[in-house]
Formats: sequence, C-alpha cells, structure tokens
Amino acid sequence: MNTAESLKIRIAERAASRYTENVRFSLNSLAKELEMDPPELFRLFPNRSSILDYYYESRFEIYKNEISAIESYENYSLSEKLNTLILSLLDQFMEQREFVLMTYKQRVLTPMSTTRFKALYRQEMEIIFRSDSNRCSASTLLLNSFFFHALFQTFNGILWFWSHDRSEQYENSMALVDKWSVFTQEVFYTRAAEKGVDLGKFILMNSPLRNYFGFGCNPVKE
Amino acid sequence: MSDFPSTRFERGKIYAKSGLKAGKNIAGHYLKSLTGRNGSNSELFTKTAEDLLGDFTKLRGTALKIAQSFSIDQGFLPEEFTEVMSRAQYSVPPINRSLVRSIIRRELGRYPEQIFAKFGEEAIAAASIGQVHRAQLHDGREVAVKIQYPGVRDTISSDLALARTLLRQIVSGKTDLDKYLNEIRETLLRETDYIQEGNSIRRFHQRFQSDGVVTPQWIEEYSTQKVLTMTYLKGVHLDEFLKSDPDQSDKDHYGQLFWDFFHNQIRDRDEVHADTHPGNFLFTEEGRLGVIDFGCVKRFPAEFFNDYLQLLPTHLSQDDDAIQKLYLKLDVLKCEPSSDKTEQKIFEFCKNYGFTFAMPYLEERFNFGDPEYKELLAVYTKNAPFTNEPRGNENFLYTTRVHLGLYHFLMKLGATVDTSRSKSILENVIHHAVPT
Repeated sequence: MNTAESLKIRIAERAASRYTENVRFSLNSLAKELEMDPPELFRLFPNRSSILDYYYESRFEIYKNEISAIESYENYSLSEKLNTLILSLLDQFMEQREFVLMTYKQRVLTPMSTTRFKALYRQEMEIIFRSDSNRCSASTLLLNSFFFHALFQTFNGILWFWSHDRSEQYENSMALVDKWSVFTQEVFYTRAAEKGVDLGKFILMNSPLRNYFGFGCNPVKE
Repeated sequence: MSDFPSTRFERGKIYAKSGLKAGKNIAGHYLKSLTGRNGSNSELFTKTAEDLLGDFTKLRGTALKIAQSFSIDQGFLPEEFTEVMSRAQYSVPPINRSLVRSIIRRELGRYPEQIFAKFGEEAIAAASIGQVHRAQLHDGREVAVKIQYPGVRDTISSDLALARTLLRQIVSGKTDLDKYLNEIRETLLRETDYIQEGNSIRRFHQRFQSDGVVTPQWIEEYSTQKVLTMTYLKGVHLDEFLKSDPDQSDKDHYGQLFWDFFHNQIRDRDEVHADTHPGNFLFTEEGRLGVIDFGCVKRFPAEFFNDYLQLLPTHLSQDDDAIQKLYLKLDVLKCEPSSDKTEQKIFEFCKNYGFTFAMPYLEERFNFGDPEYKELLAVYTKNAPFTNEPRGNENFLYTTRVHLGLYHFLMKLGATVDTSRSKSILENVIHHAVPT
C-alpha cells in the first residue's frame, strides 16, 4: 500500500467517524481535523459522498495488504481463504460499526448500478474459488455470475446477523463465518458433486425429452 | 478434631500383610460374589457408545467436556462409553488459521504477526474448548498462546441441556443429575475464563515452582478472557518419554515428583490441579516435572475434602462401621446397607475397591508398575455394581478424576514411589481438620 493510498484510507476512516457524529459534516471541517489544506482534500475526492464510498472500497486494499503479510496464505484451504476475506471485512467494519450500520444499505446495496464494493467482493471471491486446486472438477460448473451474486447475498446475510449479534466481540458472527466457510468447502471439495453431474448428464442424454433440450440425435425410424 | 491415628496405616498391615497379594485375594473373593454381570454387554455398550457419542465427540465446545466429566468412576457410564470419550478427547480438529488471526486481533488489538516476533500458525494442541500455538515475544521469551474457540462460553447452557438429554438415555431414570450438572456448569464457567486461569497459573507458580517442579508464568499483558499467553515449557509427554526407553531410576524419579506434587497440593489445603491427564504433565530435560493447563483447578469444601481423605486410613483399617458411616455421609450409600440389598452390594464393592485404592499407602514403597495391581483396579472398575447410576457427593466428579488420574499416570509410567512422606502429609491434614 503506497503513501497516497494510506492517506486516502485515513481520510475515509476519519470521514466515517465524523459522519456518525454529524451526517452533514463539511469537507472543510474534515480537512481541518486531518490538518490538510481543503484543496488537497478536493484533489483526492470530488465530494463528501465519494469519500464515504471510498471507505467501503478501501476495505479491499486493507484486506490485500493483510494477506500479503501472511506467509503461508497460498497454502490456505478454501475455507481459510473465505474466512480470511470475510473476517477481515468484519474486523474492519467492527471499528466503524455505527457508520456501517447507518450507511451500508444506502451506499452498498441500494444503488441501481453495481457498487465498487460489490464488484470487488465478487472479484475477490472469483479469485479465491477459481485458484483453488482442491475443488472437485464438476464445481467449475457452479462458478457463474449467479453463484457469485449468491455469495454476495450470503455476505449480506452474515452482515445482517452481525448487526443483530449481541455476543461479546461479536464472536457468534465469527463462529457463523467459520461454520459457513467450512460447509462451503465441504460442498466444493466433495466428489458427490462430480457424481451428481455424471448422473444428471446420463439422465439427460437418455431421457425421452433429450430432443426438447437439444441434446438428441435424429430418432431412429423403425 | 480428627482421631486419625498415625498407626492406622500400620493397622492396615494386619489385614494386608503382603499388600498386593492380600488385595488380590480380597478382590478375587469379592468378585466371585458378584452376580448378574457378564461380558456380553460390552459389545453392545461399545456400539451404543459409538453410535451415541461418535459424532458428538468430534464437535468443539463444552459438550464433550461435560461428557468427559462423567467418568466411569462415578458410576455414571459403562466403561465402553468412557473409552470412546477418552479417544475423542484430543482429536478435536483445530480451527482454521484465519480464524485464529481474527480472534487474536479482536482480543489483543492486532494480528499475531504484529504482536509476536514469531507465531506458529499450526496449533500444537487442540482440545474441546481451545487450542494452543507456540510463539515468541519480542523480548525473546518463548510462549504458548491458548485461544478459545468463538462462542464456547455461550454454548455451556445448551450443551448442558444436550448432555442432560443424552445422559438420561444412559443413566437410570430416578437419578438426580442436576447437582452434578450444576457443579460442571460452575467448573466450565471458570474454565472458559482465561483471566481466572491466568491467575491460577500465577498462584501455582508461586506455590510449586521449585527444583523438582516447573510451571509456566502468566504473561498478563497478552492475555484476555479468551486468549491466554504463558511461558512455554519444554519437555516431553508421558508417551514420548516411555518411547525413549528410560531407566527404572528415571521412571521412579518422575513418578516420585508426580506423587509428591499431588500430596503437596493436599498439604496446602488449597487449590488442586483437577485435570490429571497425561497431556497436562511434562518430563523436562533437567529432570523436573512440568505442570501445565490450569483451566480446571478446584478448591474443595473443607468438610467434603476431609471426609474424602479419611477414606484412605479408614479403608486400610477395615473398620466396617466407620467405612459405612463415611459413605453414608458422602452420599454414596443412600441408606444402611443391612436394610437394602442393592445398598449392601454397593457397600461391599466400595469397601473392597476402596481398600485396593488405599493399598499404595500400606507400604513404604509402592510399585505402581506391578501389572497385578493394574489388573486389580481394572477388574473393580469393570465390575462396579452401580453402573448407570450416579452416586456420591458432586465433588467426587473431580476428586476421583484427580486421584485416579494420578494412579493411571503412575501405572503407565511404571514407577515405584516412596509413600512415607505422603502418609505424614495425610495424617497431618486429617489431624488438623476443622471439626464439622
């Protein structure tokens, strides 16, 4: 992470805190608090909203920085990588919990177009799943945009659980992430999926409806 | 004031002139009189145990811990159940590395690589409540970092409810399980508070750190209720020690340290390390006994503890009236044995088993490696007449675990120990007991 990125992240985190104190805080007051010249701040962010959006986007910069510090990250299993990503986001969100509870829906979920946070989340998930060499080969069929959308929805579900979590240090959310990622790994590592695809393929190819699905040859005339 | 005479151990010799031989004869005679039990149940029990507990024991959390608290020695469970649970005790899968990092960050404020000079990603031990990692502090000290699985403390109540349901299927119907479950609940709450454990580590270090015994030191600044950091003790566990084919003198040396450690705890009339499992003791290169894991330490009520200790000399003197009185007081017997056939059976068992249990105190030196003694204890355990029926004061859950743990450890080690000092400790403690 270079100095400019670090500075942008510092600004975004400070802005997130300011937002919880006063939703109408001005950029001038933020610049003053950060001991920056306002023009310098405007050069980095055109407006207040872009700073707040960057808070979410920048979580992935921090996450990438964290995994680069883990020596054995490449050897992590699927569940460990899933845990690392989600727990890193939750750990970061925990530090700005109030801000996240106030703005996540509005800034990440509600916009009509795909937000940067959502795109980055899906991108990281794709990297994790596609680079895993222990996945059963049939699971590749699952790795489509619908699946990655479902994964993002799962993350939103976890976040909803976290927002209602009353356990100490939100450790029940932590346990939920762990259990979910272990389960997901089991699904992707099991050979049952392969056998299921094999069975499905057989039934489809030998079904009377095969022509309907466009898999059939010309029927043999008797 | 206790009237425990220093001569009672001597009087015991009248009844057991040659110790083990006499004990074996008593056992043989007694066991012949047992009826209604045969080996055919064993296979069924093992199958049921594996069916009921197989998957259950692979789960993390307190459920397994609860189940393990109900050892066979309480008469709760058939031996086969205990064996299944014992196998599972240290086979809990470790939690993944990313979760470990996250727990440390939440508890200590930063990721392990930012806090420690070195941090071993792989757990060196994993059990039902937490797992241990090796690390090094920036000042060079080697430490062990114990990490509690998330949500364990919150599962105590639900796991106790689960255990209650499970035990109801195994133990006899009229049994009042609640007093035992409450005792276990209290112990688990303490065991899942690593600050309490840190304080226990500190107290045991102050009490026992010596030329013969080594205990870890608590590193308070890197500890929270769910992360516990302590200095790392180098040493090998019992199995590894035995694999090195040690001399008998080495076995006796460590056996004596263990025996003395146990009795010094009694001498102090203070907290007792109540998890006497071989995994919690180390044989160090300098010839010291390493004691680790202070999650389960107990301070027994004075009256109970005194009565429990009284059992040893009372059994050796074979004073039936006194034995009966003690077992009634300790809630092992529900009424006078003469008035109830079942109670009579149980009394006969307790009398004979208790005598066998007290046999090491008969002689100046006792050989725990004697296979006959091991066989004798095993025979009693297998033939307990109150299987599936819990008996006795709830504190027995832990005193028996400690005492039997000591015997099993010494038997496996094959050590001969000098018991003279321990006898004076017991006499002194009983003699100075506050009358109740």
